[in-house]
Amino acid sequence: MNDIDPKTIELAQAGDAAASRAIIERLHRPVIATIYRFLGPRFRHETEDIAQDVFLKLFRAIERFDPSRGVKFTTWAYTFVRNHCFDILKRRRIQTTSLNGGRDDERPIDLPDPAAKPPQQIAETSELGEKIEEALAGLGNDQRMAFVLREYEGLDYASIAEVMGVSEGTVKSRLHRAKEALRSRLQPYLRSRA
Amino acid sequence: MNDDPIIQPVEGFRPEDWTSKIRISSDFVDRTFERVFDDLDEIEREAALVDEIELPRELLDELAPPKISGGFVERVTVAVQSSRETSWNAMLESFTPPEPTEDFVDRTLSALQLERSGLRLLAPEPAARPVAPPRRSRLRLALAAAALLVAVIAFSFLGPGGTPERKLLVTAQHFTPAPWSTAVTTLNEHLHGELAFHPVAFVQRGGGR
Repeated sequence: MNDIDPKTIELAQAGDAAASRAIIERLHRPVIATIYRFLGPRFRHETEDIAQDVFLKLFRAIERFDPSRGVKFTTWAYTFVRNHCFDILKRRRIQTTSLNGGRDDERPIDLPDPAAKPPQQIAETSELGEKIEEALAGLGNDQRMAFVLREYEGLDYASIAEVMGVSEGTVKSRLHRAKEALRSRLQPYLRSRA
Repeated sequence: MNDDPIIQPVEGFRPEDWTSKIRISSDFVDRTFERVFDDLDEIEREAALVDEIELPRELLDELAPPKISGGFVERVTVAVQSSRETSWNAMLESFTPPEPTEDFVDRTLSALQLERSGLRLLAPEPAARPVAPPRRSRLRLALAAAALLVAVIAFSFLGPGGTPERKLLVTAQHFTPAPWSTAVTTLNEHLHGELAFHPVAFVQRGGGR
């Protein structure tokens, strides 16, 4: 993803409304998509509210963004998405169950509850999409965030490492584990496609 | 007498007591070191395989993000701007003092009375302070000032400045509503030039007005 131009960032840092709007315009789709794919369908009706909170936090802290550090603004923005999503999961204290047999030392996320799924979502999401949601929900939080940022948002390993505050090696390891788990869970669909 | 086999403070510290109680196995450091490096090796091995598994793009794309409502960008922009504008005001408003309750004055007065009565129990009411008589020093000062004034007046009339000419001059000035030079002239005329009283000399003597 191309980064936002430094002049726009500078203006937004000075409180310029048009520049702030330009940043929101540019980032709102990836931010909402990342939140949705990471948190899962249980948070479907709150996704936009959560995204709004992420933007509020981001703009409250925008003065602290320092381009001289060599970090892209978009990468910096994903850090807010990651932290806010993790906070939400922590606050809600959802009953969680790991699907990967405890191999991963990360905290697993909750399994989607089909009974809690609103009818609207059943209509909008394909059956395969639901299976992917379920498979993603079975990953640990760090694996899932790394996978979403890499496979859906196209971030490079260094940027994911920056967002998650770990080394590139750890990011790659988590991604490999996540792919292995997903391949295993989605095997029937992969075979039918083949 | 302390029968506790573990705590024997009088005997001082013995390293063998610690090692026997904590029970750290002798290979703890080696095993931990080995596990840490095994973990790092595993991470490295998995990291090398990161591109080995490819999940089909079209499969992943089945998980589409939700549709975004029309006014989202506008709504968030307004919220961000509003947050920026109100953050300062909100901070100030958070320091607004609370309104006192209606019975605050009454409660405070009661508390004060209670406190006073409590103090009275502890110490007797102090006696009224006696009214101090007028200070003698002030009286003395007034008398001294009056004496000094009398002395100055007496000196003015009877001392070196109190000569017959001065007396005449003062008398002449008193009866002649004219400048002092005219009074001197009049005085010289009365004295028939015997004293040849001159205004400049008079001024030099300090008698001018």
